[in-house]
Amino acid sequence: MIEFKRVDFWYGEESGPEARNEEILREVDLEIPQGKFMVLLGRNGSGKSTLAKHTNGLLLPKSGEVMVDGMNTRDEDSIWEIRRRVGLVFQNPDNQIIATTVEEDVAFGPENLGLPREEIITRVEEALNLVGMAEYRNKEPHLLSGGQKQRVAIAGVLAMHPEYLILDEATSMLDPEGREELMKVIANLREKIAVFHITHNVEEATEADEVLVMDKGRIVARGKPREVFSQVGKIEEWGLELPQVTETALLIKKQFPSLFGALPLSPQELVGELCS
Amino acid sequence: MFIKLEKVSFTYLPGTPLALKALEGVDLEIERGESIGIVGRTGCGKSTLVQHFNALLIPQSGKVLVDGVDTSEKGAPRQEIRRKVGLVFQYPEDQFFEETVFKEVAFAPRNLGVEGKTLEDRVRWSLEAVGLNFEAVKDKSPFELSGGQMRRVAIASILSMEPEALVLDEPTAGLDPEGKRIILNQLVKLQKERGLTLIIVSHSMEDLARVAKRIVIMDKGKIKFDDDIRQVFSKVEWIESLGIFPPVTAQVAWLLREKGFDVSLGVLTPQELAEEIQLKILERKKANVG
Repeated sequence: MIEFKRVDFWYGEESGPEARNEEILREVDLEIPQGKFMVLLGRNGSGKSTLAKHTNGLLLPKSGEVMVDGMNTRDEDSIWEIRRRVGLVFQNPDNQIIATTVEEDVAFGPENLGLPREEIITRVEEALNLVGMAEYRNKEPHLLSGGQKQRVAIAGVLAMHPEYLILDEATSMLDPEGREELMKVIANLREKIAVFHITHNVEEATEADEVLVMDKGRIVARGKPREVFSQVGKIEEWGLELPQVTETALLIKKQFPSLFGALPLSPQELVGELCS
Repeated sequence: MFIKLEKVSFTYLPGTPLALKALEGVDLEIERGESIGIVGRTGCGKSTLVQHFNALLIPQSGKVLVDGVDTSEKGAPRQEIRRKVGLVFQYPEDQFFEETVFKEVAFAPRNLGVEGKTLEDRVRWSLEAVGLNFEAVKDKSPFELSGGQMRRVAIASILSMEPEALVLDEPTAGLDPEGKRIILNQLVKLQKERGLTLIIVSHSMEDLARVAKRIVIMDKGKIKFDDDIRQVFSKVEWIESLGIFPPVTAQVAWLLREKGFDVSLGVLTPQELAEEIQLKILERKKANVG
């Protein structure tokens, strides 16, 4: 479990009232349990990326604590174990690959753990299979598509045998196919490890076990996708939008109030209800 | 015809082992005042294509005519072509370099010799055209703005050259839904009220559904499809093979058709889809009563 306990954060060294006006995280309490697929939504500047960088000690809280499986991210002796357990993948597929072949890139992390060669080979193979990139193992990363590069970046994290995968807008620069590939990888990792996915795309949130919404540095909503998206009035206030299917259902409901007891989130749900 | 491409081909690093064919025999005609979405997988040639619209790239074979002028001709007025056809790159705010929003937006027209009151009016108009308050933002550093505001300043800094066409490469990438909505609404307004020609490269079919009337699908350097947006999105299965996923609303319409609901395909927005479904429910109710 990753636990945020009343985390405050602002950039810069000062700690006077002015600095606190610029707070990026405000009293954030959060639990990321093992094995869950969670999606974090929120407008630009709401603090999502700052929060992500707290999960593995890239940033440290100004006050409050972040604990990863009982280890404090302030504890320098634990930081490498924390970073093995919590892997981050960022937005830009071109900034995260360092080696000259896919295989070497994925092997980079485990090599630095000082693992035996056989173990490294097994882990690389396993990680590439999990993201569906095994057949590209000898390819040069720059020849890959954006979606493929992101999958390689994820494989690099998986080869560390992490407990938590944090995706900070990892789908935002991809084309629709790349997005779909990445969402399939997430589905594939479900229940194996925790996936914490930050995105602006509300459609990607409809599949999650849990959806969180951030606004002005605070977590303002948390629940199953249907619960969160049912707070129709709040959605706009948070700078979000409804999934298009849900919006359609609400419009139909105006004329036929008896329809859609539970708001549909996917095309299948909408069509299912209409045909019943 | 405003922009016309005739059999345009372009290869990066031609004659080397790294040669990459980006465009192959592309024919395309764009009228003044149109709003067009250009779509296709990463690497299909979209960005290469649009850089031909304002003579940033010159075709290696074939011809590009902008307002009747051949861009590859010696002595072609390329500066004038680039003023007429403004190009907004991906993540344009990465290229900010001025201290204030005013200077950023004034940069291009000032280089064209515009000054004084005329310059100020231009900057004011451009910022207002993207929905920003001139007085509130003009003296700010572009870097203190939010992501959505920065993107709008970047678009304003092209509008300040008073282009006749605006070409935008992924104008909403990385923006939150609110930022997206504002930009798309302002673009539609510019197209409707000023007759600005809009050419938008995007991966988001939902975005294009709000703005574009016509869609050009590219695949491996060629135009595979060029038609009215409703026509394109009603061919759900076919266009998926080109890496295009129609908007969710069109997908729902398709599913309903399969279940025997006679809804029109190619619906573009939740509003259209809801109206379409409401109509069908009423028809069924009437049929049941009758």
